[in-house]
Amino acid sequence: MVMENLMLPMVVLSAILLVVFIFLIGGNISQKSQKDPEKLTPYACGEDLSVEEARINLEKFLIFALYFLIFDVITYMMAISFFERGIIPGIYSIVAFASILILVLGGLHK
Amino acid sequence: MLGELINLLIFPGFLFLITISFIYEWIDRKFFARIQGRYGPLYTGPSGVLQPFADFLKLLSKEDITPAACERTIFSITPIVYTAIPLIMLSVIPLNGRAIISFEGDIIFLMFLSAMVTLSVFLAGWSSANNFSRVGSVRAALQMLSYEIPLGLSMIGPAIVVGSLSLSKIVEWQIEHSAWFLWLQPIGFAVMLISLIAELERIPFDIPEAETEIVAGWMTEYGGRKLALLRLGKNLELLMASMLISSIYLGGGVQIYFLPPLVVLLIKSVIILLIMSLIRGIFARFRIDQVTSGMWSYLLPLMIFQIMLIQFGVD
Repeated sequence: MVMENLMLPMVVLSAILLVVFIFLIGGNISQKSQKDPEKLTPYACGEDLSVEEARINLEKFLIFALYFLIFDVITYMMAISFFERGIIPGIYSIVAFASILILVLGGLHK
Repeated sequence: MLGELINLLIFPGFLFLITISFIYEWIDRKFFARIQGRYGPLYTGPSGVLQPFADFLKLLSKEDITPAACERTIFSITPIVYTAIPLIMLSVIPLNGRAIISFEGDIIFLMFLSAMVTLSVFLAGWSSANNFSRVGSVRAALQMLSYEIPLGLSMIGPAIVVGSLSLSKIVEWQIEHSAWFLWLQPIGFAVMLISLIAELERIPFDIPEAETEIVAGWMTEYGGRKLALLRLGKNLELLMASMLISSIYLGGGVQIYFLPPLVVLLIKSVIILLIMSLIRGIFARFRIDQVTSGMWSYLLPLMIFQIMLIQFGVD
């Protein structure tokens, strides 16, 4: 039992250590970089994208984030409380189904 | 203790998985090339089987550049996180008859880790301070908001039937009843396959790294050993996804006569890999708004419908 409790941290730690080890090997066998200011500039291919052009549509993003939050809660409730199959969990999933249908038909695309 | 360590680090553990993941990349590349009428990797090793490993070594030995405008710490840590997380996820999957770690609720743990992968992608793009990377990382986050819930529900469908949130118990149930969830819940299988392709950022859903639009998306600024780690992480994620779906829906590792469970699991996951490569070969890329609205208006209702069927005992 003690062993089983220790296994998860051990797996996490050894996975990270292994990857760091590969990373360090890469540092050892790779060519040493020469200081060159041109090399350290961000990649751009012929065009100068202004900040305006790369702006993100935050409004749509936030709306989807909100939907995500609501349905994530529904998902985890389904996960942890539905081992009893039957009429009440069934009604719950019907309600979830109806709400997603209303959401989709009521203009998710707009 | 020593047995556990060998189990974890060498045989069905990390070294073996990394080796297998290179072979999976070779299968994927070869099959994809054959679909397109090309030959694919040819020269390194027998029919080019060592090519992915050679690419990895080459990238590892290249010069490591961190652009001046980057957030240095996050920029360097994210490749390590991106590679380590699929390794941790693989240790939950029962490879050789039993998993290295298995506890009640490890499906929730898997969902948490798969969200962490996308978050590390978002951080990688954000810390690069490049317009292409930023667009790519926002697309990755938006895509995650749309596929994460169908993916979670498709893992929960079998869990409701089994009555346990443990991956090992789901595999055991399928062995005991000699039934695959593929036949019991076909909608769940399809939804899980589609969401996993979206998570892996493979071709119909490779919007975060669309080469023809935004160079390499969130990976634009990466090079050298960091890119090598990102490539390795991608391979491990591919291996993890195909093994996860064959554990949950295709019965997982079962002893069939003389074939050990690991070989059976590998055969099943190679079949899943070939399906994914086929999809990669025959589809074109979606737009990001098509993905979000499509996932919300088709995948999620279908998956909740599947859960409803399970609740009323239709399976």
